[in-house]
Formats: sequence, structure tokens, C-alpha cells
Amino acid sequence: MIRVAAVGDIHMGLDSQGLLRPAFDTLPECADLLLLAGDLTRHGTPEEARVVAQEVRGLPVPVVAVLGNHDHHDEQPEKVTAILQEAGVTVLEGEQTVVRCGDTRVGIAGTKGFGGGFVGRSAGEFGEPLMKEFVRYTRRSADSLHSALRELDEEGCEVRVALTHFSPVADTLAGEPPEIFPFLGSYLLAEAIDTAGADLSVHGHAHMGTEHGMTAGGVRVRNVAQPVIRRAFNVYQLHAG
Amino acid sequence: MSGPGTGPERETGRSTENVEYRVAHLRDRLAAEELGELGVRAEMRAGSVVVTGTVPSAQCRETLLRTVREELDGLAVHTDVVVAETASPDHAEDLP
Repeated sequence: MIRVAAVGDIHMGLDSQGLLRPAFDTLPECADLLLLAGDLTRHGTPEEARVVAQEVRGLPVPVVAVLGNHDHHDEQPEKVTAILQEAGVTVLEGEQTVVRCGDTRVGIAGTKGFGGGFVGRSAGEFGEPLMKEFVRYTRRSADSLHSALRELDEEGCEVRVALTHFSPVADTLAGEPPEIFPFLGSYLLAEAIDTAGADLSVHGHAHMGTEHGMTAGGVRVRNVAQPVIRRAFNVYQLHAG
Repeated sequence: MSGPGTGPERETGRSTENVEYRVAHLRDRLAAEELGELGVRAEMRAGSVVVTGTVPSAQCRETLLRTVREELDGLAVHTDVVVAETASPDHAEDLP
């Protein structure tokens, strides 16, 4: 059994140091790894990233993260990534990593993702260059997620998790105004997950959404935005094979 | 007798419209200023502006409530804003 702890949207600022560390210190007792589903900061500044880095530095379980839209706001995502990496966090963007838990190889494929909406109510790659780029950006992100999940399969991972910030499904957005769903996620991410295969999909971003959902292909989806789960993290137990 | 555009209905209509824009400006300000807050909802309910959501810290909540008071000065406002909970979970979810 693999115990995956996950949380997103912790939105740490300069007043946040130490808020989550007491809970994170309990991780070795209840989880094999910690996933951070983006929006780790409020504005994506290096100063805020250092608060996050300090909060997870030296944890005895592997920490794997994707960035969120807030982490891009200061337009220094590379700097935010570097600061987190320096603290031992594996930061994924269209990439994958393998964590060994006992005899089990757990693969995590991660990308921030982006919006566009869901089938029948989605943006199309048509018209103004900005509109086309909006959809293409999401498509590139979904394609990279697909490739990363496939790579993990070829590497023989017994358990695969898709980690995004934006949502792959509308299920976990229930509670948000339907009018803003196209800004909260895209079916392209779910299509990538379903065609490449995964055991669990974890995302954040939708603070007023719902924890539980499922892709059209039957992959369990969990919205782990901290305001949704109302804890420092949640733990999901997965079973290899 | 009221002239065109000054009757009670017009006044009510204009007042409602102005509140709507003020709520929109509040949301813009919450996102743009120090909070960077996109996850708080502000909506009209029964003649009041209802502000709901979860913020990351007690300091954020204070800043949010101060901003709401400033931006919606003179309006009836109901706030239901909580600070994110930071306890460890007491159980795991099994996904067979």
C-alpha cells in the first residue's frame, strides 16, 4: 500500500512561516510522500517561495510539486522552482519522477495545466492569436502530461499519479460558479490522463470546489485545495497492481 | 412629480448597478493588492453584499475585512471568511 499525502493552494506569504510545519512533521507516520498541487505562494515572489521552501525543508518524506497560477504572478517561475529545488522539492512541469516506496515504484507526472473548459463548453483554437494561444498552451501542457505518464508506464511504475494545479474534470469544481469553469481547468488534461493511464489524479485551484471526482475513463480525481480539504493535507492509500 | 430619469424606479436601478460595479472593484482590488486573493466570493444577497471564502492566515483575514470595509463603505455587508485549517488529517482515504 502506498500512502500519498497531498495539498494545494497553501498560498504562503511572509506571515505564514511555521503554519503548516507542525502538521508536515507528522507525515512520516501517515504518508510515504507529499504532493504539492500548486499555488504554494500568493504572488510567486522569491521571498514567498523561501517561506514555502523553509516549511518543507528536511522533511523525511519525498516532496513533489507543481506550480500554480499564483506562483507565476511575479513572472519568475524559474526562480520559484529553483528555490524549492534547493530545499529538496522535486518540481515538475511536463515531467515525471519516480519515488521508491519499499518495493513499489511510484511515478508522478506533473504539470501546472491551464484552462479552456470541459467538453461541450470549452474554448476552441480559433480566431484571435491570443485565443488560439490560450488553447494551445493548455494543449501543450496536456500533451506533456500524457508523455510523462506514458514514460512512467514504460519505466514499469506500479502506481502512477497525475499531479496538476488546474482541474482535469468539472466534478471537482462543483461549488464554483459554472461560468468560471473554463478558467479552472480543461478536459484536455483528463483526456491525457485517460489515454496514458493513471491510478489517481490530484489537483488544486478551485477553492470552492469539491474533493471527489472521476474522469470519463474512471480515474479517481481529488481536489486537494486546502480550503476544500480543510486540513494541512489529505492522505490517499493506493494499492500497487 | 418626478421628471424623466429621476423616478424611484430609475433611482433603484442606478443604485443596484452601482453596487454591482463596486463589488466588481472589490474583487479586482483583492486580487491586485497585497492579498493576491482570487478565492473569495462577493455577491449580492437580500440587499447586502455577502463576502465568503477561506484565506491562508489570520493576518490575511484582517487585511481582507479592512479592504471590504473600505471598498464597500456605506453598504450593508455580511462577511463569512474563515482561516484555512492546518491540522493533520485523522484518517486516510483508501482507494482500492
